Amino acid sequence: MQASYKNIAWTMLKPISIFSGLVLWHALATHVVNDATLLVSPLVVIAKAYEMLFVTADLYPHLYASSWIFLQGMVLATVVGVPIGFLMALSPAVRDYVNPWMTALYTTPRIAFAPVILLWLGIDLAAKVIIVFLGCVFPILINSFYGMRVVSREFVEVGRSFRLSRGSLFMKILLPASVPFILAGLRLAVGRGLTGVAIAEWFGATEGLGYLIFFAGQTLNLPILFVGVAVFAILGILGFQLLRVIEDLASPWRKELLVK
Amino acid sequence: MLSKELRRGLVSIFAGLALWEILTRLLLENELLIPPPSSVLRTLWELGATGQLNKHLLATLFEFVCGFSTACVVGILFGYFMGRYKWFDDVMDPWIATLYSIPVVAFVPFIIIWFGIGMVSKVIVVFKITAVAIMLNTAAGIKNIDPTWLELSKSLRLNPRQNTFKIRLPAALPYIVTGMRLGVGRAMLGVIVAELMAANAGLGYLLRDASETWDSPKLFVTVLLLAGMGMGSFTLIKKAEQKLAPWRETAEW
Amino acid sequence: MAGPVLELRNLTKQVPVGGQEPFVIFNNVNLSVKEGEFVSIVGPSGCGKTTLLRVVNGLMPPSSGQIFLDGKELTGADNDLVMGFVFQGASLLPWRTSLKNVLLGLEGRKSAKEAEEAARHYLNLVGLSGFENHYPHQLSGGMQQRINLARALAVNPRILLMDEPFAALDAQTRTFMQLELLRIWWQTKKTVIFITHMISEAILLSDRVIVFSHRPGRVRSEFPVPLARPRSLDIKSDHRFVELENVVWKQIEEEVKAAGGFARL
Ligand SMILES: Nc1ncnc2c1ncn2[C@@H]1O[C@H](COP(=O)(O)OP(=O)(O)OP(=O)(O)O)[C@@H](O)[C@H]1O
Ligand SMILES: [Mg+2]
Repeated sequence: MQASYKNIAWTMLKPISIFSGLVLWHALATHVVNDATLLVSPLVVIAKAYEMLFVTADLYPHLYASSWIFLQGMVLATVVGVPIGFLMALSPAVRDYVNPWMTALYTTPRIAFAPVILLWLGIDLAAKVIIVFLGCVFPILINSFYGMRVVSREFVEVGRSFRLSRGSLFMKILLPASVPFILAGLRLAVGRGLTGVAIAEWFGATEGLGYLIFFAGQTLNLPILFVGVAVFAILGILGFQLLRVIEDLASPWRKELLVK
Repeated sequence: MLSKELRRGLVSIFAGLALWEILTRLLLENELLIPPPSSVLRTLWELGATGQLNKHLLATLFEFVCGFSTACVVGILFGYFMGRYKWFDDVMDPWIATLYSIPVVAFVPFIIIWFGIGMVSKVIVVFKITAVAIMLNTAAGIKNIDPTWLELSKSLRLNPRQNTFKIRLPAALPYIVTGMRLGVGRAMLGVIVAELMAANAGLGYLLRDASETWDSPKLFVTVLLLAGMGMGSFTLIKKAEQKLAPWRETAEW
Repeated sequence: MAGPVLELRNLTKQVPVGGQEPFVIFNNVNLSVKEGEFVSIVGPSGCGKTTLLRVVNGLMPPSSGQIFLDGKELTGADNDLVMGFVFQGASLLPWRTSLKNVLLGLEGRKSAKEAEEAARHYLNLVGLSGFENHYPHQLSGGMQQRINLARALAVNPRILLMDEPFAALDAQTRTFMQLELLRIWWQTKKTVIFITHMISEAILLSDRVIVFSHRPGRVRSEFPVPLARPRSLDIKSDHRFVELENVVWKQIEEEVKAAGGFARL
């Protein structure tokens, strides 16, 4: 008996923490700060979100614009990142020549490239897509590289002992073994891609979630700011979880491989 | 005798720079779009001579170091307790996880509204980003400790202090360093974003200044400086990783 | 029954070490294996047994010497699937089911129907019919090695190369697998080169036991196993078995001492 009461108390801790946090936030906003340009109550934020979703419905164009850029950037990053990662894993020469540039591009805070890209391409869709692309290409590329290199050590011998042709070696061994790594790369790329979206829209756009946040920040419109940030967080979590599910579906054997 | 790898890397860099210089000189009428490396270098020199370079570089570095070092202390401390005590993890996790999943760019406006456009807000941005990453990773490291080691600790009758400092923390060290590595990259982005939004000094400020005045050599200098800072901090972290957790294979990037 | 199936002549493998003397893994290995013979190689750890099998299988070129299969010299260029390799680790492809793993070497060499028939036949031979659609991670270690064996046998190789296939199994499973291998060999009569650290395993399974020297490895001595087939575990108490085990153990002990003690292996 004692134990089960204790168990209930334990499982309640998380909801209690969330609830009391929200209450504290509300109290802080309405009784302590009391300044709508500094902090607003979560109730106000929820009301604003409801309004933007169901009454004025003015969140959707932003959501649509941002999703579109995001998707294009991700697809481009996959199409470019995976082959380069593979090439680097399969050819030491390619790796050695590409490596210094990759490291430079990868370790530089991505936002540094945004003004340069805007300078070259102007404020249009292509520039934004490229900024998103730069954000998410590296996790994809690096994971493809590692995936391919890990398998090339473990399983290539098996393929060679069965005298598979180069094509079969790639299709039957290298590619399937890299799939979970590529998907893991995509999963990591979601967050960076969203940051890319925010940066891109922030620099020059008239719609999109990044624009919404930037605009709300400039005009000290805290309810909209909170809603924008929340939508970003939700998109990030959804994208991440979606890719988790895809990973599990695409490679039921993955856990075994990754544990080793 | 340089290794083949290094030789190829150097060849690749010099060839790239030479190509860039030649192409920009031959093909482009004005230097607005892509200044040749030589004029980027000249601008770098000029910025250094006027003391501007020092000012902005030091501002960013200062913000970064302050935020990062406090984040290490707080992150490890909280992460440790999150890993050890389930109730604490339950209380903290919803908030930390939420903070973690908000893109860097999205919460910077808040920090600026709350803490102003000075250095404090940037220190807080760096702090928040790094602390969260270190916290989550430290907690994971403490949770994932091999139970055999805990039994070993018990059978050797280690006291709680020894248990913490000789078994649990060393076991979690690779995770902690991973948290730091993840934190550095995102924090660098965060500090630049914050400076870009509202600041009166720092590399982010310089970036904005250069792009608003269409001063492309200056823009490229800033990008170069940021690349240098990125690679520098990355190399440092990698070195630290090898020193702190030499039993672990470190990531190449 | 003319010449040997496999013959190694003065086979040597060395790998370059930056700036220094090349590192000799094995040196002047001479060996010939008859049709249907089961040969085991034992030797101290690190003496180059795995490397020898890999060279024989054409996974890496020899530094010098020749390999003859059915009297024809094998060169690096030939690409025929004439040997089956059972690797030291499980080495099953985790994204393929049991059946698809066994099919790996058959795809594209036989029609789909024939290939599947053959694969099922060999799965049945190793006692795993009913597990066609299991993934490797759903199988025990012993089952995984059965699949591994079926995969190598399925291509109907001239020679089966086995590199410590049972090393990762627990003692009981290992004994069962030894008996299974005896049965399967009896049914297929393959020519086998089998590498192991376990002297009793080598004697139980083989027609001939080869003892390798410490690195650089070469054939130190060889012993025919004078025990009749089909065999069962009972032969382990046969005095000839026990004597042979002792003799081989003495030799390995000497090799280990010559290498500087077992702590240096
Ligand atoms: N490609 C290589 N380059 C350098 N050294 C190698 C290479 N391949 C093998 N070696 C070395 O050759 C020696 C023999 O290796 P091998 O794996 O063939 O030994 P083994 O007899 O199978 O050992 P074990 O019984 O432990 O499996 C080892 O010292 C190994 O480090
Ligand atoms: Mg071996």
